[in-house]
Amino acid sequence: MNKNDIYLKGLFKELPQEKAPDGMTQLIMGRIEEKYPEATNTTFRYFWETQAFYIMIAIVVAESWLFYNIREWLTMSNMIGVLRNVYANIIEYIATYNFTAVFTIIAIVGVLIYLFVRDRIEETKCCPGKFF
Amino acid sequence: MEETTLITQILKGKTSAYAMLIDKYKDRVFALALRLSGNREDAEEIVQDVFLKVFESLAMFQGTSKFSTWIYRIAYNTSVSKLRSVGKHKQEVALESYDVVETKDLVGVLEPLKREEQKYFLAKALQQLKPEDSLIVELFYLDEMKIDEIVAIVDESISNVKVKLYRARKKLYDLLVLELQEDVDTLY
Repeated sequence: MNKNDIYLKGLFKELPQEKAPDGMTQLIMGRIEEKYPEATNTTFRYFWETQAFYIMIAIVVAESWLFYNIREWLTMSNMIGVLRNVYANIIEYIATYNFTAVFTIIAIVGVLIYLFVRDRIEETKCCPGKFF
Repeated sequence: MEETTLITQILKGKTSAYAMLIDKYKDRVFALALRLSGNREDAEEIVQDVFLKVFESLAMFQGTSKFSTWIYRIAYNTSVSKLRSVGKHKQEVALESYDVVETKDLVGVLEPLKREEQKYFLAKALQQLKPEDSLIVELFYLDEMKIDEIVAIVDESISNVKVKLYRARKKLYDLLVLELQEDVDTLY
């Protein structure tokens, strides 16, 4: 390639370029979704793939475990000195004074994580690679 | 993200990754369609059809050529088919004789001008070329494609593409000389 070709290439790159109209990507993805719904129903797959899903599962398991076993755990921790030292104050507080408040906080956090995940999934549908 | 990685992901079912490919190529495909069709409505329709076709045949992409070449080829064929269906595309049967214009002649006409003037006159001259000729010029100079890549897109022989490129360059040269002469005439 000679210097004149390079010169022209540089000039061409500076020419104003036509751009596809705004929303073209969404329009095309919409057409694909319409034509191939089974290929584009990736929400559930994404859900499984996200770390947030596992966080939610962990919260649900922790909630169930905590409320189901807390009294027993308290008893156990009373029996085992080390655990008792570490957890007893917190568990006693939760168990004795503010059960409802803790439950509400955990529920709110769960809902917020769910909303966050749901929004990210919606965004990921149009802009993959931007989950977090 | 690498194109090949994206394609693999799409083929595995992560369809939403296709949006990234669309984002990357939609402007150039639109420009190509607009160049060939000459109107925005047709070009928009062509772009949609092109990306739908690309999605449908993505599994057939062998990776033997560049992805851009492959997608431009589909864009070119879709544009030509669309224009044929509305009777806008006339197939040229023979290549007319051409005078060779060296790139240095073309640059020679432009060089005395300021950069902004160069761009103005070049864009104006490009618009007056035949759609296929201006497309070949753009693929060569703007997309920096080699002749064999352009051949793969427009499906013509190497010699035909070279002739079209030379002829387009000659036409550009003539148009620029004419434009600049007219410009000088209006000044004095």
